[in-house]
Amino acid sequence: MLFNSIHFVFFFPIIVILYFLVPHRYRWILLLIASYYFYMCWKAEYALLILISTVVDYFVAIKMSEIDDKKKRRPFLYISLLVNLGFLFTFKYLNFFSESVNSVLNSFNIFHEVPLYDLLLPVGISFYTFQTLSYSIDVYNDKVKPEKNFGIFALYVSFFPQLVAGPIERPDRLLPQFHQKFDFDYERVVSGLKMMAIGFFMKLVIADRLSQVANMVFNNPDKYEGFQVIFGTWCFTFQIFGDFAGYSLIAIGAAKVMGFELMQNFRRPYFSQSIREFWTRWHISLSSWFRDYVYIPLGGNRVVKWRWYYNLMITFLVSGLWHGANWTFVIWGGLHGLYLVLAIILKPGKDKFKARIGLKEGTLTDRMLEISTTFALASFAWIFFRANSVGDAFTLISNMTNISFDQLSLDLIPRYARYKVLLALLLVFVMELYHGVEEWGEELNIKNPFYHENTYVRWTTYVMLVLMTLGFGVFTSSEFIYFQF
Amino acid sequence: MKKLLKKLGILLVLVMVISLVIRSTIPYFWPIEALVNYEEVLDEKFQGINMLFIGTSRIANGVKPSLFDKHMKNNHDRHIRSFNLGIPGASVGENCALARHFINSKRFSKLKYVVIELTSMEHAIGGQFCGPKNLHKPRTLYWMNRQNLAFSLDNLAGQSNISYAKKFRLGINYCVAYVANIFNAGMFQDFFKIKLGFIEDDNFGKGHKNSRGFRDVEKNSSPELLKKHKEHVKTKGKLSNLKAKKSKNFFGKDKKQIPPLKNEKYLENLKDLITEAKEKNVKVIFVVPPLIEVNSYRLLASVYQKLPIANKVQITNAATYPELYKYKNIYDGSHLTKEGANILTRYLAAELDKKLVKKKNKTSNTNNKNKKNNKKKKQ
Repeated sequence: MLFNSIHFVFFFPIIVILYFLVPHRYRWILLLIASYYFYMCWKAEYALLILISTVVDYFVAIKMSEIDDKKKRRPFLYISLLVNLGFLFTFKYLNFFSESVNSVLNSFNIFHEVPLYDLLLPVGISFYTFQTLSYSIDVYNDKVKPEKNFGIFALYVSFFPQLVAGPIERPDRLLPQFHQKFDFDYERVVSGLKMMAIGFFMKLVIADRLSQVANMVFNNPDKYEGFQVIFGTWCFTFQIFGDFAGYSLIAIGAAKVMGFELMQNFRRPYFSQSIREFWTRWHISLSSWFRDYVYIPLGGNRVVKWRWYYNLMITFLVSGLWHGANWTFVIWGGLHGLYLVLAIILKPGKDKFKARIGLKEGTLTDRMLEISTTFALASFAWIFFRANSVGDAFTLISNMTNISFDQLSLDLIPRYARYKVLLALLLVFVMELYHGVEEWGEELNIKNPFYHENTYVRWTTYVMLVLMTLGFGVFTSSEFIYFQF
Repeated sequence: MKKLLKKLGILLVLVMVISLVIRSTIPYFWPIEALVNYEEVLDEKFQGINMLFIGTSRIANGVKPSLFDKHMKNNHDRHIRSFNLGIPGASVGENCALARHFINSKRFSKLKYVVIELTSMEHAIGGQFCGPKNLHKPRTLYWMNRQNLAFSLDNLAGQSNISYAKKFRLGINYCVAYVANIFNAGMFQDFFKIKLGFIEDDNFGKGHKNSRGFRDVEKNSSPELLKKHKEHVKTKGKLSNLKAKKSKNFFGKDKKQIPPLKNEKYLENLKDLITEAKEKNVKVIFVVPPLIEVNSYRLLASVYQKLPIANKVQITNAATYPELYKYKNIYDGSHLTKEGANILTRYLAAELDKKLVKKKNKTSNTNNKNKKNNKKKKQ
């Protein structure tokens, strides 16, 4: 089921009302049924994969908790890793792996074909696999105690607001919340609903509108040049943000309405002043997962320099691969790793250069420069993320260099598509204005209109948001980009 | 909880009121791009239109207004100025809503006849046009007012050959389209797109202005139609032959073949439209063209049989109109070629002439004048 579907419009209020009517001890049953129903609306048989993961991890964790010796626990952890990563590999990477092997063999004139399988990628498999893996690893490391109630553990794996696209929660944060009783709290419910409303705006109005322009460019890489490619990339940069941050806000808001606190997943990433900071603001639940379960176990930054760079590169290459079984994602991840490594290597030189030209750190000019550079670097990397193939990405990059001011003319855009471009510009301006207020509101003494103490300001904002979402929204139930991961 | 519901209610009412105010101030715009392209030309050149053809691509590709008017003038001494507003894949609800719009808007002061293709309910309620995929598109949205919602739900309820689950699902879709219509869902963007002229240049309608909506399928074939055309050639008209057989069975002389009417509501709604139009001095005539969907012959025969004689014509029976089912006149099993369209237009003109408002006894007047002249000459 999609958040932006009619189904959800009926589903969510019914579940929320039932949730507050049902006695606390039965609520997990309601949520578990709702979560499986939510998932099964997409493809019922694939719920079996979640169930198998749940059963395996439940028993593995119980077994591990019964054994004190960590070494003896290890086989059980391996079972969990094998089952979960096995599913992930089979459904997501098997064909990618086979194709890659085939092309390598072909390049050596060995024409042995590794077979390809017609497998449908289960929605959200990367998300729930990582969530359940974090449970097994944390139990193995004695960070959390295993959940005794199978139903509640099953709910932890399948909790519908964050099942298909996160935020990827940790057991120590989410599991205890299922035991807690949440009464109806007006302020909390309203706050959750506001989050959902903003999320819907970001998805339906911003992301889906921008996707129309981005698709034009990325699906016809030969056709566009210079500023047109830059504009298309810029549109995708905001599209993916609107799409995923919008989804996360709906998920966090929906959970909040029922009392659950999910972790913040985005914090205005395009206001970051470095790529390092970007990764503390973009897809926070995933980047922290990789930090805790990949980067730190590899040694993090408490190692010799070359090993530090290696750790960074490996973490980001794996992160790229997590996003999709395509070399475009691997290159995207690699680019971010490279940005971070280069930032470390070039930092002394950059500081010296700044000192020489008299640019003080933290000044408005410095902040703007850093923000613009980070935005440009992130946008450039998105080309690989969105391109249909590595070849397309390089075509776009090569075409991007053919800059001419004639390309700024609207005449080059098909007439029927011009309104999409104009609307895209307007809507991104509105969104970034709002995020600007969120980011610098306190500094500039401007209040967030959604939480303004003046009732008229607040209500005007609500009405405007609803009217704009309805009037400008794209209502064709397009999927969220991150569902494919 | 009460406080929240109260505030949500206030928000809903506020948004609804503002939406209705916005809607009432925004000038009417055509709901789909296929029609938008005609708007300009209709206002500019065709203010004197007195007959409109409304229907699916069968009408768009099958009726040539210029030939029709000429035929009416030469053979039946009628001054008709017609325009073809057939839209690919139009549903019953869409057709009737469009007809109502023209009848009530008085856009054409001389409008006297609206000829609507009788499409089966199967077509109208199919997931393709009113299903979730197409739900929020202007195509199914802007015409879904209270009257059309009642029309669609009635028709759905009376349909006996679909499951209750499907009825429920489609019913919900109609209701959601109605609510979405009240709240102007997606309307601002469509308004900007259409009013600022950001519509696809090569879309349906553009380029067919001069032919007054007639669309030569051989010149405007989409890849999908081309595929069907190849199939038609490959099977030597297997589909159209089957349709010819069905048409003879259900629209032939043997009325025992006609199944009993199951969807009374559908018939009632069509009759209501006839009455409403009559009050505005417009005559609605339902037409069954050739090559309708295979199952539609059986479904439509029972509806057609019960429509008032004055408000219906059928050019679908292969026994009466064998030329329309000839292989060479058919493009893809569902649409006629240009030559086929010429034949259909001529048949249609002849059949419609019988149903149009009777001419003033013009011939007798001319005879009297002639007699007077003869007398004068003799004197």
